[in-house]
Amino acid sequence: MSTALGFVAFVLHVALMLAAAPVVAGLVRWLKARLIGRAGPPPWQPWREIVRLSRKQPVVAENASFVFRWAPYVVFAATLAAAALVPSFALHMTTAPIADLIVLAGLLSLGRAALALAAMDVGTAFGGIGASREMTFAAYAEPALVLTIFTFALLVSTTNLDSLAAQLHDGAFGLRVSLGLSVLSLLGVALADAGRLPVDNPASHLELAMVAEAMVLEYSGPPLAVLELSAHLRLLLWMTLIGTLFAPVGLVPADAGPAAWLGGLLAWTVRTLALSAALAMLETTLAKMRVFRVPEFLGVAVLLALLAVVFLFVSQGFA
Amino acid sequence: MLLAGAAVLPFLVLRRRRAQERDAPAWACGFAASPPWLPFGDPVTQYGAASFAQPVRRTLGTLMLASERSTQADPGSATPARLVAGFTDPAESLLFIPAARVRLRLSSAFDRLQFLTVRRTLSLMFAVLLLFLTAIAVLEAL
Repeated sequence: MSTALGFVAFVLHVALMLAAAPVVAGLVRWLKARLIGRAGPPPWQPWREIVRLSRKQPVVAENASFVFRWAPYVVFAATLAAAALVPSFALHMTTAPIADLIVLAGLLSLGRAALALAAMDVGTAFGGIGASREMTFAAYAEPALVLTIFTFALLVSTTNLDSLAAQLHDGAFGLRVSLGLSVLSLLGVALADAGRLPVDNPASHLELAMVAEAMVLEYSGPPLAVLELSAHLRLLLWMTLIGTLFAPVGLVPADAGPAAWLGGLLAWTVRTLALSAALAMLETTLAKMRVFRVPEFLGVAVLLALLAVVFLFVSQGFA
Repeated sequence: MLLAGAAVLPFLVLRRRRAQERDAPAWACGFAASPPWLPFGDPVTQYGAASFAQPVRRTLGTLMLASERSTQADPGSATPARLVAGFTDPAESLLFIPAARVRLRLSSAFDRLQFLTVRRTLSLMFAVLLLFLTAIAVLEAL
């Protein structure tokens, strides 16, 4: 019974992530527009764009290889697989045993590498500039992420996301300085990885400042729709991950049944709305950084994560 | 398995909906097509390994003691502009070279043992044997 419920929760979770991802991205866009006094498109506008793009005929560069054709699906598959691992409303879903933070980091890297390869495939300068910048940012963001994973491994003695969230949910660890430093570090990594301000401006097509947009410049039609959906999914994934790790309030076990799931869903909605509002506030108050300032920003994230590990190690050793 | 299934399912749905694709020159934000004598584009405008690595090199430069020197030609001058970039890995001067020096000194010190007389070699072996036996006796006593 609990296996079946776990599977149902997993399917619902994947459907929720897929359906909500463009809406959350649209919500952030709408909030940003409202904050600067514009009407703004409705939150479901990204869904409309995805549907519109998926009906179009794709135009592919003459010299594009199979890498260019297949990369959007690899990116999407990796991102969806990663999103499927992060518990949103229910714990102990079917994917719980494989929901490892290191697997998650690997899947995100896979998506990033596939996109960078695709960007360079056609051989235009924009794809190359986007790919090389993205990889530079990744060279800083990934160590910060791995150090944060290490903090959790030291604190909870596991890197499994599901048991991590369950133990943090039970409040066995209380407030920790290390967790505070980790959340700051992870927020920096999330901003860089999801391509948000101050690292990258998702609304910009100003050529010299582009990172993520430069990589998808040669795409059109359904492949572009797939890439857009992946980008939205990536943002929601980071929001859910940060919410699950640092505010695991209201998470329910999958075998508690659909009635309890509603409570979990409500908690997830509140968390996501709060993070969306925070992101919109951040993006309206901050300007985009120069590309060569970003490594300094991410370097701070690495240092904070390192500090979290050191504090934790000093206070508890390898216990 | 579950993960692969979850990833492949939407992929199939999306793949089947794909319309017939159309080939066109690379867009590159509206840049002109490359001239006929450069069928694969102008190599100067393309991203190579050095250009791909440039941001990392520049940002990690302070760590790797990188140096970059660019010479711009004066207006009207026909000399080319040059960019010379290089780096010295601090690990080499601080770690590898001292380690190699220590290894060399130790090996030349121990090299002398190979040229002892028979009497001295045998005495050395005997002394080592005595040392080991003493060490075992002490360890067993503990």
